Amino acid sequence: METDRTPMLEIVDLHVRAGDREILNGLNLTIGAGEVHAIMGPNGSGKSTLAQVLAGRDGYDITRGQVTFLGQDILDLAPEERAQAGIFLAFQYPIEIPGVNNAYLLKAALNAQRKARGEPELDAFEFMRLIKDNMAQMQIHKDFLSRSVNTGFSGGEKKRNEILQMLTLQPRLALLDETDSGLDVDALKIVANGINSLRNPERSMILVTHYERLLELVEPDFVHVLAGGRIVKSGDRTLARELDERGYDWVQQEVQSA
Amino acid sequence: MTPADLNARFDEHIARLPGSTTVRAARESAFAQFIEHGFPSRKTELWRYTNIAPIVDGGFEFLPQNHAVDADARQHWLGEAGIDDEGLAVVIVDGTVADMERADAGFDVLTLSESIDRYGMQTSAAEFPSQPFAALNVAFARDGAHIRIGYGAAPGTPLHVILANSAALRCAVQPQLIVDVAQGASAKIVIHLLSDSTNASWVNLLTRVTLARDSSLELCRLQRYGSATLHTELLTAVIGKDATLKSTSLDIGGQLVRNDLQIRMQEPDSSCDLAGLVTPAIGQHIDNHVTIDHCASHSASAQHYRAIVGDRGRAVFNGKVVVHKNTVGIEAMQSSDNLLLAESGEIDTKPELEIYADDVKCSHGATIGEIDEAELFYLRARGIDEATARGLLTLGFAEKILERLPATGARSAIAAKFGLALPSDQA
Ligand SMILES: Nc1ncnc2c1ncn2[C@@H]1O[C@H](COP(=O)(O)OP(=O)(O)O)[C@@H](O)[C@H]1O
Ligand SMILES: [Mg+2]
Repeated sequence: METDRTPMLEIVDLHVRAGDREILNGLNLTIGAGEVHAIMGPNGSGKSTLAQVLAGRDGYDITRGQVTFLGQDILDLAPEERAQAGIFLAFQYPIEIPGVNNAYLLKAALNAQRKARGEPELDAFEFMRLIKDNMAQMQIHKDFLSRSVNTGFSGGEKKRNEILQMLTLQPRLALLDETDSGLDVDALKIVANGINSLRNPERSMILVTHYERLLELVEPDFVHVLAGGRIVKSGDRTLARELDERGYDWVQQEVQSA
Repeated sequence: MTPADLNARFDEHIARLPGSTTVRAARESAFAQFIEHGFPSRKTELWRYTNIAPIVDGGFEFLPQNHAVDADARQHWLGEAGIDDEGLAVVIVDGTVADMERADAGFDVLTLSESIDRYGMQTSAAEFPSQPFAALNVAFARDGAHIRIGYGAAPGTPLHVILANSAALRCAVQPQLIVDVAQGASAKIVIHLLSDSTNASWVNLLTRVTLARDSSLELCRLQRYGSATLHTELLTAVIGKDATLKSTSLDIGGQLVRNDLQIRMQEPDSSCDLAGLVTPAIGQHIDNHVTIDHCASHSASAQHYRAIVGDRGRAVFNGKVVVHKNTVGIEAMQSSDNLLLAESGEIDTKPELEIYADDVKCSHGATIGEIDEAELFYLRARGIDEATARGLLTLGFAEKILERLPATGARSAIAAKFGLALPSDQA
């Protein structure tokens, strides 16, 4: 029963600086296994910083606080070690990598993670079988495999590619940073279906979003507001609707008067 | 090797080099042209970055006569080039052509001495007054290949030319390749430059391409010498009406490599598309000097040059475009992108434009950078370790040029050279 009570992710009093700017100051958040949490908040409030720091991006000073993932302190781990442990970040702005094709990246990533877990690497045939279903689910054309990673992709293609990678890598904790922005209604549905198909009691998700419309399709268990570098308000799905209607000012006023 | 040494060598060898008295006169005037200026000096702009001391001080043997190249040697070098022996391949070992078939599916090949016997010396050093090494080649050229693609011919497979160097002696090898593409013909030629790891010869190659009306040629040049071979080269091409040259070169090995390209857009609507990748490290100097002369209207040129520079490597790129008077509708683009893997590496890149016409579209851009941190993080965030991510990104940078070349192990050669890690099944 021990594992049941170990949270998937526990962030305690996290302080993060970039340059001489404090971006996160005293952020607390606990995510249990199987839970989906939405984080909303005004532009520039530090949502992407949180996601990037959790994935291990260089260039941020973590001046205080702890982050444990499945009971393990991860702040000293390299990005690849975190990924191998099961953390996946879908980037707000996926990076273009000319000259490295999608199939090559996906296979290298999957096999690196399998190897780290002591599982046998997949050969080309096994890999293709796995990837074909995921591509069909994300409605991605097969030409896509031989194209360079994200290079010349439309905004929507990049976001679908992030979810394709997530489906292929099957992470324990997914951090989806504005995966819904820039998508039309159809693409949003495809992406939401992709996300929903991965929901299970062993897997947790953080959805960073501005808009309530993704949360209509992927229903979160909890909704948080990130403002001024910390979580200032938490609630259930109804909070998202309220934020959508009323904006963020009232939350900040509420915090200031408290 | 002072000019006086060369003079003695020339006097000694001229009688034994192939050719009649008119050829001899052509050699003499080429040699006189060389002697007039001597070895190029670093004081001249064209040679400013290129230290040719290893050539000048090299003390090379000049071999005036062809030697026997046995079938085993030919087979060996075909294997090294990564091609099977089917069809026609020209194998030139230490400057001498090995026995071969003479014609195959659209290619008609003579050895240089046969060509000289039939047609005389077709190359005049006066065509390239500022190319002292090419003049020296005309003076001393002994063997090589004259490749003809006849009227309207379109060979279905490429012709491979292997220039291999195995001599234990330090030889000055002066091969010449002449490529004539007749009207409406279209062909592909792959040139492999190879040497043994201990070879310390100096190869001074002259390649002369003529493209008649409506013809096209794709040239792939793969240089994978050992680390002690020296190389100088002039590729000249004259491009006819509606004709196209596509050329891609890759330089991996060699100690000092200097490639000059002189491309002449001679007739209207001619075009060329040139690309190159150089990968100098550990004291190597690799140099591409391109000059494109737009002599006719509506001609288009493109240059895509890249360098990956490692520890103490030096890459030089100079791309010059000249748009001549009384031309219209010229398009010329140039890019030079460079990836610096070590602080001790050095990159010099320079575009030059000389424009004497109005209706011209020219663009050029140069970048020098290191592995991009955002790209690196993206790959690592997918679980790929840092070393492998760097390997993938480095080869990814090369890919834009490599994708134009036949698959001949270039990727793994580059990975090995820079000690790049790659995913386990791809290494
Ligand atoms: N590496 C960095 N260096 C300096 N400032 C940064 C860096 N990353 C983010 N910031 C700043 O921190 C603030 C929060 O940014 P971000 O986390 O991207 O916000 P959000 O995703 O909530 O819109 C912004 O003002 C941004 O300019
Ligand atoms: Mg953001």
